[in-house]
Amino acid sequence: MKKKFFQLSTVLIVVVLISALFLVGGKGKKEAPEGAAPEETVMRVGSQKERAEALAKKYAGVTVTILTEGIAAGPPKAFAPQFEEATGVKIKVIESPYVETMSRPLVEHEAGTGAIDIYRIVPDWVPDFAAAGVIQSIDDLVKKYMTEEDLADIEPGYMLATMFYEGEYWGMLMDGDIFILYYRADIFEDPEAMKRFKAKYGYELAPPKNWEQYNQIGQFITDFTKGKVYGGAGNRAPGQAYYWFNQLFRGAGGRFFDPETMKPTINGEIGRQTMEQLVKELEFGPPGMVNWGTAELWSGFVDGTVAMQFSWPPSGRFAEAASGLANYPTWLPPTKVAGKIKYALLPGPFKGEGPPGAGMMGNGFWTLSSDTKNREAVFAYMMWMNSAEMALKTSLFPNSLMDPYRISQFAAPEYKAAWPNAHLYLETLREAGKYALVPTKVLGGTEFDEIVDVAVTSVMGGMPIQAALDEAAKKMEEVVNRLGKDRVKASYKDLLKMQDEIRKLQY
Amino acid sequence: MGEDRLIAERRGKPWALILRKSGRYIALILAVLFFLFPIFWIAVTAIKQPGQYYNYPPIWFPKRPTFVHFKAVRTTGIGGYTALKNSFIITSCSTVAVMLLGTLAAYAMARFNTGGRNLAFWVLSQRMLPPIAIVFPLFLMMRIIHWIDTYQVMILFYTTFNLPFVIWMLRSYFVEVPVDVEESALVDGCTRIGALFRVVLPMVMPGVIATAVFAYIFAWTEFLFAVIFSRTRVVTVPVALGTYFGTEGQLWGEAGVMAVLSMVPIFVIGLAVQRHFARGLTLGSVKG
Amino acid sequence: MTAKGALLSRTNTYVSSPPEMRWRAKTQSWVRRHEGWLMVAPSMALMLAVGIFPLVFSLGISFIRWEPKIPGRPFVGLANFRDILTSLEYWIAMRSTAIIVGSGVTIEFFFGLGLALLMVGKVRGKRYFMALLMLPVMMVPVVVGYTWRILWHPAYGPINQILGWFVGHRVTISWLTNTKTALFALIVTEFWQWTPFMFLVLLAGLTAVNPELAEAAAIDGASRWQTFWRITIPVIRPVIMVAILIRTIEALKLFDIVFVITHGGPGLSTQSIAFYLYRTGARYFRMSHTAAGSWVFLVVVAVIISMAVRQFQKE
Repeated sequence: MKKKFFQLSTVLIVVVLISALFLVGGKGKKEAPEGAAPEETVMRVGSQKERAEALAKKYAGVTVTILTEGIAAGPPKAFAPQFEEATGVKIKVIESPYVETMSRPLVEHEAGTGAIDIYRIVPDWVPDFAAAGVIQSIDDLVKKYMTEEDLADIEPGYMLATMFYEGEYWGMLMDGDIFILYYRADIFEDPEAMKRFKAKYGYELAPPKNWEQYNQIGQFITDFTKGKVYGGAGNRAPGQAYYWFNQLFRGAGGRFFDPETMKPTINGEIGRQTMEQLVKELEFGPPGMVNWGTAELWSGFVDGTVAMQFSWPPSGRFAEAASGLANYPTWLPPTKVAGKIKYALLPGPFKGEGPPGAGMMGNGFWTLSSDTKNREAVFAYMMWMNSAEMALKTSLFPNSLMDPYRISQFAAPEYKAAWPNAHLYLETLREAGKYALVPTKVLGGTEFDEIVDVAVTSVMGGMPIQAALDEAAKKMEEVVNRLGKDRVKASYKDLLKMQDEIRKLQY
Repeated sequence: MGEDRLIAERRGKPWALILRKSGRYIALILAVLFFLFPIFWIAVTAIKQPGQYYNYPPIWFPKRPTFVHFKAVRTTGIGGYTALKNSFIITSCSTVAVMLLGTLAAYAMARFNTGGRNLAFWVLSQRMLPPIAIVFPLFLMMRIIHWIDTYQVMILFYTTFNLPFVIWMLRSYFVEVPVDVEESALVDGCTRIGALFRVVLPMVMPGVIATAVFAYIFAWTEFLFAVIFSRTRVVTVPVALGTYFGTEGQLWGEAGVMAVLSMVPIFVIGLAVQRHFARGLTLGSVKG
Repeated sequence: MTAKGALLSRTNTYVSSPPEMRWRAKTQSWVRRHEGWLMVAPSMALMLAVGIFPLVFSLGISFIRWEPKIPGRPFVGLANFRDILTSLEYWIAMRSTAIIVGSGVTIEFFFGLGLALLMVGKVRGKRYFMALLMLPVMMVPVVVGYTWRILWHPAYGPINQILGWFVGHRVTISWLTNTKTALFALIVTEFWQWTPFMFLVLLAGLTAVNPELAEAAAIDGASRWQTFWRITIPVIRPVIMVAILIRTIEALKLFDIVFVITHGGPGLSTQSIAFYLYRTGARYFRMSHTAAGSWVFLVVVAVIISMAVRQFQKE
């Protein structure tokens, strides 16, 4: 017995050492395999959709596989037959729980399976995935196959905020997830409410220009309706709370780091004010709001329980149960507020004047896997779904969570006719592009977002604000040091650069 | 029950008997209420009208139940019924396999003390490493033999993962059985394996059933490996359910339907195997 | 097999028999001498085939720094282990896990035993009771998580509502946003889901107990209590030990309900080890760190379990 164990352990140690050596060898970033397209003049005539189909036809018989979150899989699945018929390229959709869309790509890449061609991710993950070699840039493909017009149709703020990394195109925006304010116009325009509000606060009852006004309006509405309608609500549940933090923090000009020293500045004045604001909103918010996630938020909103909310654009659509946008989500209560909703840009500063802020939060973003065997065919599909016609169809798809991001979508007559105030909705969303806040698209972005999330839920759980923020800052610093200060600094500077580019749109 | 009567009668306290009897049922009913309440909740969720999930006060039963979710499940995501089928195939095969292998091993370890404490502990230790640590290497292995997204790989995994549990559980039940009965069977001309299957197993049927039921349950409800190793072909119920809860919406109705449907097989099996737990005072099968 | 054949094979007829019979007898005797190992072999082979490479791999990468976001995979010796051992977050997670598992398994055991005792023997409607009591274990963990998350919801959940009935006024405890109550909620959920496991396993063990033993004891004048302690418990001792052992080992890998119900929150105060490892591995891609963390956990668990097993087997 003893001898057997001795032998076994020797074998074990040897194998451990061998595998350690094997791994020390390391694997560099995978070079993207060249597409197999023969030399031809690239088609420049026709719409983006037509050109995409022409490109894809060259690869008929190939299968393109896309990994996407289950809830967002509707459009790719629905339009797959149409694409197959037009081009002969088959589409396979793998649906997965949201969290797996983050870890799965890495597993597939490190195992070198090449089984998945498109990863539907959020822009925040691009630097991490790029560093890990999981995805590849599509810059050369965009420049080769897409025209100025194709790209000009994408609202510039949206594009600048999401599609670029290190000066190159890294993915196709498919979903214009931007935060704006949705409010109950019937309450805001109620004469009695307006009178009393003006009397109390001295300014007109209107969408807030800063967060102090937001609080005043929120508290007022809760009191005015005697608690039947709560002034405002937002998500505080773990997993999404950081979006609300980021909206406030970045909108007020907050920065995660000092760009030169890379010292975290999240625990400074703006961070503190952000947390205080998040806590303050609980005062006039519905009971139990501290547990709220998106499902509760949207349910409360369409139910009429909440007067102001800011989150993703589908909430505005679903509140109208617009009959051009068929099928209502099955988990949402019937809307009681159709026709009563108006839209506004979210305040930027906490007090006083300043530009509004519109966070780009978790946009559906298609990226190209590094291990794909059919670069051009896959890109053709991405280009096709991104085209103006398909983008419009996708956003009008029943139950769709895909929101407009192309100028043609914002101006589309079908969309504008979907409900009486639809044109206001589209205008506000489009306008928001000018004030878009770049998501946490840096190396280590996922970790920073989670650190923020943890800080928020800690505060919600009773931790003192400054302590939670200091803790967050400390953790961020550890991450920066671990990943390499220079590398994170470079990606952070890139983020700030894009933010500056967006700011130029305001003039 | 008979012993109660014996004792109660002996001590001249008939009311003790009634108290004990009703007390037992009261306790059981309370227990059932507690354990069933969340199941009731999710089952009702399956028939709630859309949007009745977040209500104050909470809705215990919808005034107008709807069955729309049962249909919706077919087309949502990967297809709920397909997932049920996949789960059923994978779970059944792996349970049969693990019970076969496990019974043999457990018997040997119980009767002959094969491998002694070391083997027993080694078997147990297979389950101690957090699954996340072995997902990637297993993925590498399965990729090489092209078994990703196949039935085989899931059956292989669930069989392997359940072995430590099955072996340890059965071993403990086997140990309970006195050796004499087997010995007499062997003397009568039975092989070892024959004795195992024909004599010993029937005596520990309750234990075997319980173990098989849990092996089934563990395989049925496993999530991590199911989600990593399936793409489109062998999506199981837990994975399908995972896709119902997303960032911008939660398909409660569908989830309720799937939750209920996925409990049906085990409930049926549970009812079917009751007789093995019906041992009462009337007859013990171990006679001399 | 005939009686004669059996007799022949069991007695040593090696010397005076023809060659084929000798060879057969040799094989048979070899089989018989090793029947234990032969019966164990298929299981072992499977566990080895599936288990050995991952084990070695994960141990191997814990000595290097493999993190896809950072280029290179340098050998770092024990640095990962040092990081784990000095990580406050890791040990807080360990503590949360210990609290949940320790309390959980303990109450599960006692309630499971109680329920099993209630169900031994003739019980009216037994089959329904049993089938119903098994349902919680049958529920997929994700669904258990989301269902209990709604149950614990301060405004939309029936738990506060029911409590309100007893107390007389509205109860608005926010269970999941306070560390202590969140841990409590997790323990209750765990208990709810797994007591049926204890129940069934112990019931199976109790059912196998020879009822005549209890009868004899009763006739001899032993009280129910004495019978229970002196006879029933010792007989099902192996079953008890295994039930607790197995349940503990599985419970230590607690993940799904933490992920869904509290997500480690508030902050990271209810994070379990499995959740921590999931975050560092699947979210942050820190492969080596996760491997090291897994192995430290394995060692801790192995030490505790082996101590427990030794304790049990001593008597």
